[in-house]
Amino acid sequence: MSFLNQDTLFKFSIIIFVISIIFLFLVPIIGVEVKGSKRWIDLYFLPRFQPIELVKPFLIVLLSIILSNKKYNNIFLKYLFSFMITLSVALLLILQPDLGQTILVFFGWSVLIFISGVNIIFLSTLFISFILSFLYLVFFVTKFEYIKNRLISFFDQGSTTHNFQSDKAIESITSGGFFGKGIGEGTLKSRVPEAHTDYIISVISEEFGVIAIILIILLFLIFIYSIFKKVYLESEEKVKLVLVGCTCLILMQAIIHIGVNIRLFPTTGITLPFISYGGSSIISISIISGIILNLTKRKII
Amino acid sequence: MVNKKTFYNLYYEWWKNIDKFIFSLIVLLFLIGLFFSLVSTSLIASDKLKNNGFFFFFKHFFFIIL
Repeated sequence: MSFLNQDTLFKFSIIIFVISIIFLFLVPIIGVEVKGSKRWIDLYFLPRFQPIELVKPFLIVLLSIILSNKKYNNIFLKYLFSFMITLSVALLLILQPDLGQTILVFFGWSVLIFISGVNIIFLSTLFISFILSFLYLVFFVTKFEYIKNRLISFFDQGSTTHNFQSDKAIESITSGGFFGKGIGEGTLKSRVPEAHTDYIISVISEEFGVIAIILIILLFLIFIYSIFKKVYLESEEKVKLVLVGCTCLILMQAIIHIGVNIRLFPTTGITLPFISYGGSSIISISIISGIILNLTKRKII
Repeated sequence: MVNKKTFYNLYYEWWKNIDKFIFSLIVLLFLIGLFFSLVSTSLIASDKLKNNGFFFFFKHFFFIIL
């Protein structure tokens, strides 16, 4: 990705986006069901992967191209068109169901329209509509009853049915203390099924202590700050939008992951970028890193 | 010979122009992830999957290389 010429990158992104959307569309038809969710595709010539992880980075690029298009002056038409694309991706995700990724996709779109200079009243109205749609989905659609249960148990501290993983994660962070129990001494990885993906921060905290977590957060902040510094110096709107979109995707994913681990948010299956184990997630973050490296390259005039 | 030189030039141009600080941060974050997948997941692989103790580490390493 970072080897490509900028124009080639944008053209290439549109093609890959179309291919990955086809894969995402195929998930409800030929997808593999794991623990009640159909999110993976298992093709005999490829390893099992989650098409949404491939869609996410290219969706950001495509939305940035639409929002920065100089041919059309009507900004609301651009918002509408970009919204329709985001909505179609979100609908395919809701079918799986994968609400965590749906929130991430909408968040990415909201960041992009905010950066492109949206009216604050328009953005607030949109935000309220999102909340209302989310509440409708959770409380009135039976497919999402598991989210309702998670929310209820999240707010009801006495309930233990749906809080098992979060409770164990909190316990392990507390037991790890400031310097941790030591390598291989942690017990969370054997007690929680998805510890190496959704609860990696708690596993690290238990074995290496809170100090390791502080260092990782610090690294993420330095990474994001150095990209934003480049955005500030950038003159092309399209490049600015892609960089901010990709960075916010990483940031939001990290915030949700850490928030779930410290029981700030209800349980969602979001991995920690760069750190968590996961084939599709690693490929996705590698693509995002490639795009970031490409767009922060020194320009040859 | 020409192909070798073209590849070298392409690589040299890439290395000359990328932001090395951002690049090193990305590499560092990936290495940290690889380290934690080695020390924090080998038990899961050997206990639950009845597989090679370093199954997750090698899979993670393969995807990073990919």
